Amino acid sequence: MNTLENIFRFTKRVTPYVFKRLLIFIPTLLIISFLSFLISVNAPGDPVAKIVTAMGQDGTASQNSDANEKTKQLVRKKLGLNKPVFYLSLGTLADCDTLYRIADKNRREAAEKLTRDIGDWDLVSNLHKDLKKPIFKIESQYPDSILSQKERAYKSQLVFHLNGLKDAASLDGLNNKYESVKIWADSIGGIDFKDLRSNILKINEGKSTWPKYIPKINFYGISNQYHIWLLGDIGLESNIDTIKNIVPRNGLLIFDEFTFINKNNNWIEFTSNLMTTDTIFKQSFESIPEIQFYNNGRWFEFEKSANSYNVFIDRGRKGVLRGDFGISFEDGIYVRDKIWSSVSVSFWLIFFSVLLSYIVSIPVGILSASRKGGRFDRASSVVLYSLYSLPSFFIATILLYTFANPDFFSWFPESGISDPEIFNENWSLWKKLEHQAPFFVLPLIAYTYSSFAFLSRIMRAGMIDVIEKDFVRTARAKGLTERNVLLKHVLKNSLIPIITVFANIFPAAVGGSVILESIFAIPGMGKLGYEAILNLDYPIIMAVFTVSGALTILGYIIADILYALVDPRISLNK
Amino acid sequence: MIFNLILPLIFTFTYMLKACAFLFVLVSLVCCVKKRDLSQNTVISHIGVVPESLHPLNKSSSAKNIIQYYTQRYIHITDVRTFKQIPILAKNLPDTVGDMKTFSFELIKKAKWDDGTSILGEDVVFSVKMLICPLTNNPGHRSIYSVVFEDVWVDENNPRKVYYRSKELDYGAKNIFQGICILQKSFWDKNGIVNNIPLKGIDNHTFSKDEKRWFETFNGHEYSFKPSKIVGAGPYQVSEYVLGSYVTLVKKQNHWTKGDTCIFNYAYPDKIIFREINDKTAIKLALMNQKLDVVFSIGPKTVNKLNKKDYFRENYYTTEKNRFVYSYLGLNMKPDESKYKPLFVDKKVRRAFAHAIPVNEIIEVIFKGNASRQVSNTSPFNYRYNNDLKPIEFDLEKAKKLLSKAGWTDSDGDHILDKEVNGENIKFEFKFSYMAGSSGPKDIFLIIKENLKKIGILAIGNPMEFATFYNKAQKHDFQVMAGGWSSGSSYSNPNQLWSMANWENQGYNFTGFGDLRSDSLIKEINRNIDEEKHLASHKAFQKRLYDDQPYVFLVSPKKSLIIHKRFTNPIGYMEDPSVLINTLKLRDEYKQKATY
Repeated sequence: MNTLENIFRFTKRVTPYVFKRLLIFIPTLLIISFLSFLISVNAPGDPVAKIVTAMGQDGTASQNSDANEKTKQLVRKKLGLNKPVFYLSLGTLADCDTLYRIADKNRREAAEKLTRDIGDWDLVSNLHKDLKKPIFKIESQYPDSILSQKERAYKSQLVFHLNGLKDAASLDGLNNKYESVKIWADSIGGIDFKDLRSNILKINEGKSTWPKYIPKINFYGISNQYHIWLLGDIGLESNIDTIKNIVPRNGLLIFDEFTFINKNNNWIEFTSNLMTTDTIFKQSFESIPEIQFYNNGRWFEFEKSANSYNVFIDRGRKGVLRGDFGISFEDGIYVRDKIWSSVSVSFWLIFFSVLLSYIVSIPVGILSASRKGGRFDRASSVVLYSLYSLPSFFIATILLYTFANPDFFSWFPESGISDPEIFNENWSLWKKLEHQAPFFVLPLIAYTYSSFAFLSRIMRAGMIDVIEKDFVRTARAKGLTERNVLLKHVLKNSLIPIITVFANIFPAAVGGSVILESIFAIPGMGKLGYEAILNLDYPIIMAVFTVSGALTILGYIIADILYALVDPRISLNK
Repeated sequence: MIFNLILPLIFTFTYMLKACAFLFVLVSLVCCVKKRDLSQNTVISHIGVVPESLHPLNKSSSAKNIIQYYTQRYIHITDVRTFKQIPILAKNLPDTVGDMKTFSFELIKKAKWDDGTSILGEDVVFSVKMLICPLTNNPGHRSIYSVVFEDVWVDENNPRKVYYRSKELDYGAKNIFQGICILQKSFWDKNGIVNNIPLKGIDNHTFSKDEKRWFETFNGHEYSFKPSKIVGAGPYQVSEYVLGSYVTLVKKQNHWTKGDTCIFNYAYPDKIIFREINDKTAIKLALMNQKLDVVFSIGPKTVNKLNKKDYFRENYYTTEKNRFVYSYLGLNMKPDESKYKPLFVDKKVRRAFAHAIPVNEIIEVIFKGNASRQVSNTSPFNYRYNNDLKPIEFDLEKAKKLLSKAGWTDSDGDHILDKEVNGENIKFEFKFSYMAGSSGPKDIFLIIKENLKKIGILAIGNPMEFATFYNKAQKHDFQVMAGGWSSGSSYSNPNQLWSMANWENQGYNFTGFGDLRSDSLIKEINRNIDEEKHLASHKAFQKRLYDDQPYVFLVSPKKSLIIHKRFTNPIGYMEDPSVLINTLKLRDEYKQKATY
């Protein structure tokens, strides 16, 4: 009865606190998710370029080939990277608010820098749009068949330098590149690129520095990468009815601004405020089965159904808050499917590692404190600190060479978490445990040894601090045995620092250990996260960050509850 | 309260009892470790990484290709012994019909799916349709194949006879089926959902909701990871698939390949396990413990160390295999002439440079003899190689003479060659770009630097990380770069690396090689469907590269192949995994052994 009462009182004391912490948990999680998202989208490297390059388009791969551009656009669309990154962006008056539509990350960054230097996006945009014209002109005026060897070489240089204009990131750079274009154009017979010349002239004349000093906030609405990642399709379909069942008549559609993409990924961009009967639009509209509109800060995608178009974009995405971490860039598989098995492996490994380290460190800490300055204290300090100073990969290798080596002791398996030759998924839990336990011995030691020194020292310091307190002296004066004094009075009051460390178990489980998991071939989170970083697989990286952050908070809540449990004086509600 | 009860218990045991308990746990754990039963007809092969998907079409990787070799079947494949195509599911290799753009082949009668139904032309059409369909989650494959296939159809009177037509006259079209897994239409599309999707003009097809939903399933998680859903016409079936750990294949009983004389259809081992181990020490120990039967990605240095152990030599065969990879020095033939001076524009200079590179010394010192010389873009072990091309010998005197002929002399006596170019005296010094991170490229640079110095050329090391290195190479922002390429035994279109368009458009032609003649030669290679003519053009192109020396071709590093001696009949080849695992036969004497 007494115990039940205690439990009831404890629950009553802790519950309001837990609720409070859970309320704080939500905004904290949002901040964590936002930060992890921010880090991922700003990480160096372009996942789309990597995926497209990895595809190895034999014979056609090149930065500027149409096939390459189309594939990039398609991949960007599939991965949802064709949308604005966030609800808003902070920039300057010179910046373009739709730069995210440029598929190539390097080009996008170059265009952004050039725009800031010139102060007018329209001038840069016109230059980029018109760059295909000179190349087309060269091809039509100077086909290879009429050129000599020398002229063909000049043509090659000319095309290369024309393509290079897109990479110009400053006005000086642009002018230098244009000079090279002129030199090679003269070599081929003085071909004149009227539009290009006029664009370069306009850029030089129209350069203004002031717009880049005026800050500007661009709003993109809720159809952005972050919203879809965090909340999925929430809110995205709310206005469907107003534009559903559009029946295009005579090619007339009116929107403030839009872009549409057909299945062949032929981008046709309209920048006019009012879209009326456009020739290209008229010709191709009826044959386009899918259309994607950007309208008033929202993206809408339609599929053709008889004479109408129905919304289908982002359907089914639930977002992180509803447990959907999206799909992996690498293989289009749901992130949750990919990380689940890895999380469980890492979790159990860390769980047992922490358990082992507590089982070893607490007694060692107690003994060291009770025999402060004694032989055990000094010896354990030397041994544990020596171990602490050794890197984990070194210890892991030593363990392997010692205990998985037929030249010494071939006691434990050298890698993996089961023997694929005999392991059977249908075995009973006990049988599985019996089979897999030896596989975890060496990794467990490698995971744990460094925390022995750390935890036992914390324990020792806490104990020494408490040993000198008055109530301990009183306990001794009452005639209690030293063991009772230590275990009943000192130990309980020395556990606070140990509990603090406990809060880190969960994030460590999700983070895993890259090096140890690689050495022991353990399919855990560390390895998965590391490979995701190498592959620029942002959804996986973000999932690892976010889950890790959420579990850190959870760990702290549990630690706080444990504080209250071991020390009733600690008030959680103040 | 809880602590009052629990914690004292921890200390009620004596130290002796604790030590006994610890020893008991340790001994129990050690006893749990089962020794491997070497009498089992199971081959455990090491693999660098377990593929992230085993979907027959989506997400390609070399690891996936290795596994699919045993689980899937192709119309024809490259014979690893001769590097020529041989039919597998077809009676004959695709042959032209009428014009040079239409090809046909006939499927063999005995080829069957696991449910006993025949592999028919409709399966081939379905496979190609899936391959080039925009809704299939593999835009990379699509971009390669959709430019080739115009249409594929089945003979009206013969369900096994397949015709296909290429969009262009293309040598690659003849062998286009070599990498395509044939899918069982009745397994994937029981209800004929995709029947209405036309293969010709698939890009303009309006997909219905049902079709879209069907593709969601087709691309889904189950068909990438669930063993029972990963089906194919090969003699092995995936039975277990643990990401990051291993993939197990089991031999299918009464498979149509049983008794087949084609070595690619052999299925001697009952089980093949591909086990992922990343750490070199762990691989080494796994070999020492006989936990692996086949290892194909371990360095010769480790093998030499292992070979010093008697028990290892008793248990394993080791051999060195040549590979289709090579390293090179790329010379910028078309520098911008402002940032980079025109050092390597003259063919004579490039040839002189080649004479000054001590390739044999690099092989001996850096690779410890475990590499072979590379002379052109084609491996000397490939039948396409032009045997008339001989390695350019290391000869500093010859190099000096050639440089002198090209106008490079030491006019100011500073021991660095110089030359008057466009009224400006320029010195022969350049930045040597290489990838930072490993000692190999740096060591190669140091050897080269020393030798170049002897002929008056100053090389300055310029290490950089991979992304920067690659980006600069594509933008032609280098003077000399140390790079490498990996290819395979099958035909590789030279357009990607050597056409002018791929220099102009920042493709893989880093050096600026090419002119009208070389471009037309590339076209000729690609358009010559006739094998002999194609081969002749290919060899002529190699000669052109050899003469022009845009690259100084360096070496092709070897790798070691290790096979357990309990298996016999190893058929080795140059591509991973270097041995046909399906042909490994368990020796009789091992069949009787229980454990080692």
